[in-house]
Amino acid sequence: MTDDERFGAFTVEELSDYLDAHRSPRRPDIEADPAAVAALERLEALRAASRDLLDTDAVGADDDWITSVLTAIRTTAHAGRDIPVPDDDPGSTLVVTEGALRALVRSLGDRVPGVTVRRTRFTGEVQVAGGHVDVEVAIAVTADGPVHDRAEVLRDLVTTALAAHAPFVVRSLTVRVADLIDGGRP
Amino acid sequence: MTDVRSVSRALTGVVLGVPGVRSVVPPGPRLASLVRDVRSVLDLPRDGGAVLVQERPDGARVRVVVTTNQRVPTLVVVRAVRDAVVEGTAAVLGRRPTDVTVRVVEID
Repeated sequence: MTDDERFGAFTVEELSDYLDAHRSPRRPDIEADPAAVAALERLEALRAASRDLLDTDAVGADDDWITSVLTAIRTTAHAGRDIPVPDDDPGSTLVVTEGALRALVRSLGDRVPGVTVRRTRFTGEVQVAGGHVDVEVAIAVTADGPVHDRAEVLRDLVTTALAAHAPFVVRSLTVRVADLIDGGRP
Repeated sequence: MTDVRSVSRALTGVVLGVPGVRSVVPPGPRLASLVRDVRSVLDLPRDGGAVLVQERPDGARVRVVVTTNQRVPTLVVVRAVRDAVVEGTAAVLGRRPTDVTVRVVEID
């Protein structure tokens, strides 16, 4: 189920990842590619797809269908790679999307006061069932409390959550403080 | 000829009954299609269930997209969904599906 169509020199997954990272650090190779930039803009527009679309086109549609449409947009736009689940049945394909795990990690950050997860990156044998994966979580932390302690709390939460929900073996987990915010939530 | 919409509705109910499943999402257009034309998502069927069922000469192909509850381990849920789909398809169609895909897109 991989989207391997290219926009300029890049796959839509690469562009989606870049957008997830808020186009930072800047990728000159992407930014200089007109087709890729155009796709980035459409992808951003897609993510911002509003109810205006539905107001125009879905008059009379039931709420369940509208919910389905919105969920399909949201989950597809943030899906990332498919991560296979180890399984013995050759007639089955079981996957968890990278986007599902990223969102899970992000929600764990929300549980730790003063912490916001900026980015989660999975590298290594991501698309190998039961593969070994390195996880890096970049966070922003407010300066009104112990940074190390909160990073450790998040690390413990992520370790537990990935053990329960990720279809890979976590080879390493790095929580990196990318930003220190001077007061208030970032 | 089997009405795949009714099979889809039945399987959607089966999947929703699996502990840890929050919702069943219709498999939508590929991301590349959405990027080219966001309105393609409006082609999602308005009747039938959210599980995609396709009849092929070699057997049924079933595709399921779910969101799950983080209180239940996802790997347990995804396998339980597969087992429920296989059993449900066999009950409705009288034979096991030849191809089942289960995709977890959100863990809330």
